[in-house]
Amino acid sequence: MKSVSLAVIGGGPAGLSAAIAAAQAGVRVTLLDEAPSPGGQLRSRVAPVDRPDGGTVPADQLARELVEQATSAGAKIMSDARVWAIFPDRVLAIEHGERSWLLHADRVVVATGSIDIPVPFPGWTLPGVLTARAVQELLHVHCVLPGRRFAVVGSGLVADAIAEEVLSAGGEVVTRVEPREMIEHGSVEGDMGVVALIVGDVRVAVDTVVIAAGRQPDAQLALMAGCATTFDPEHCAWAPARDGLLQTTVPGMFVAGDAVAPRDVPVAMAEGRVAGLAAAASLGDPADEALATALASLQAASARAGTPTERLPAATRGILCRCEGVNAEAVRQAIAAGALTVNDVKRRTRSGMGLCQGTFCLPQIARLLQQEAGIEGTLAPMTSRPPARPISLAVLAATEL
Amino acid sequence: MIAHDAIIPRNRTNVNRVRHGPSGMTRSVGIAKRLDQCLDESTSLRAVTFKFDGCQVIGYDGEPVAVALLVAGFRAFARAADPASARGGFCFTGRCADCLVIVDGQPDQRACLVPVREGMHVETQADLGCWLHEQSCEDGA
Repeated sequence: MKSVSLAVIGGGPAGLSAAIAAAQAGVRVTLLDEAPSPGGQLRSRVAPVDRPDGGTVPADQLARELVEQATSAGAKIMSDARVWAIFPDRVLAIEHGERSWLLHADRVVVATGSIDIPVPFPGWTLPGVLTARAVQELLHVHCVLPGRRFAVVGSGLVADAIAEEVLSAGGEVVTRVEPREMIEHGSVEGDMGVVALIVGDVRVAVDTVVIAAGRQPDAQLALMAGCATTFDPEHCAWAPARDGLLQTTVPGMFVAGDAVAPRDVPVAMAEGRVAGLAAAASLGDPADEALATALASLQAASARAGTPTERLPAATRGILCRCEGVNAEAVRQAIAAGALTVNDVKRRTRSGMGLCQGTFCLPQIARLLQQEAGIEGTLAPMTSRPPARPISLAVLAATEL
Repeated sequence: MIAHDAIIPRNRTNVNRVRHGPSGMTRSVGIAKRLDQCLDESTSLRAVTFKFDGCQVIGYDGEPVAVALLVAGFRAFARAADPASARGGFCFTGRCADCLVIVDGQPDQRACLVPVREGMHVETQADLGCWLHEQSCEDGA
């Protein structure tokens, strides 16, 4: 089996910062990123980001700088490389270019980032309903404005930012609706694509609806690795539990950045640096001073970062699980019939069994469990099993061991 | 017809003149459009043609199939588990599996990830591998 000292999963600001810190400390680093080029959320942002040491920088320039620093420090960056499983003892399964292989890593930094918080309402599966990240990818990576008349389902700065980006690309933002309102009373109408957004008696003709309700941690791989998680009942999100040096309950495995709690770029970078240095230290490079400085920067960045998004109500109408086409009513019936966990609901309804592996339905199932079954405390996460990404059986069967 | 290696302008909403999609396909030409400015230097400006359910579509070499289809006016290029439910891209980052299509005979390909290549055959897929073959294209495929 191939091996490496440190494997970093994810090439966003956290992952790149971890790779830079560890590589500069002399550790042999391989960074695996599933996108065609590294940068993560920096690839699809236009708004300048704050530098950890003050001042601002365009997001794409920051991405280039981080990639340059990582490669010149000796880190190997692999784009278009999907980690489709993490097995015990930090064995990663990687798929890249129609090939699959196992990689043993002495240390792992999971920096898998965040995904858009799903906001289900009747019609949200129609073509023309897009996540905020999708709109940003289309605008800034592919240079395509996906619609003409937009509705933004979102609140706060996230919604402001995406509305601004649509406007400056020449789109029209005709209405803006709070996610809560959309879940409770809203819907989208259309046959082969969005034609109108309806809230109560008000019908607005739009061709595109952007869901911009904030981000949730993407902890799927950390869960698969067996990391214990904490459940946030406010936002119905699971995040890996960590010690002061960002190490999870799985020895040698660290988690940094949005994958734990989506904040901002400076926090992600500071966390990445701490995780990279802590991984290096545990491999025998006792860079105590650098680590202390990194921890202090992290504390400062965290204090400046914004507060998380509001609590959303449970969706009781329309499809919840997009992959398997399971509607809210079916999930409510499963709960009424005795389901008490997300795994229970999954077994009874198939929700969460599709190709996205619950990415876009789990928070809503958790909310329904809270509301319908009266569960107030911790909910166990859905069991995370390989493959984390769709992989062809031919490639999987030919995995190099 | 545009030569395969022609350099075409960024704003090419009207470049594709195929107006009639396969039956059941609504072609919403002009909803999505190319922007004049482009920040990504890595995107090739080489126009290539590929087939979608028999219809000729022009895209940029290497851009995701879903992006080329969107600009060509095919918003509803995929189908969900519920066969009546039209889908297009939702997350455009390979996570949601709303955009599954058949590419060169291989089902379950995520259109938001698969790069456009000259001569590629893309087909609508219903559910998990049930193929739709009801397409007809006036321009002759």
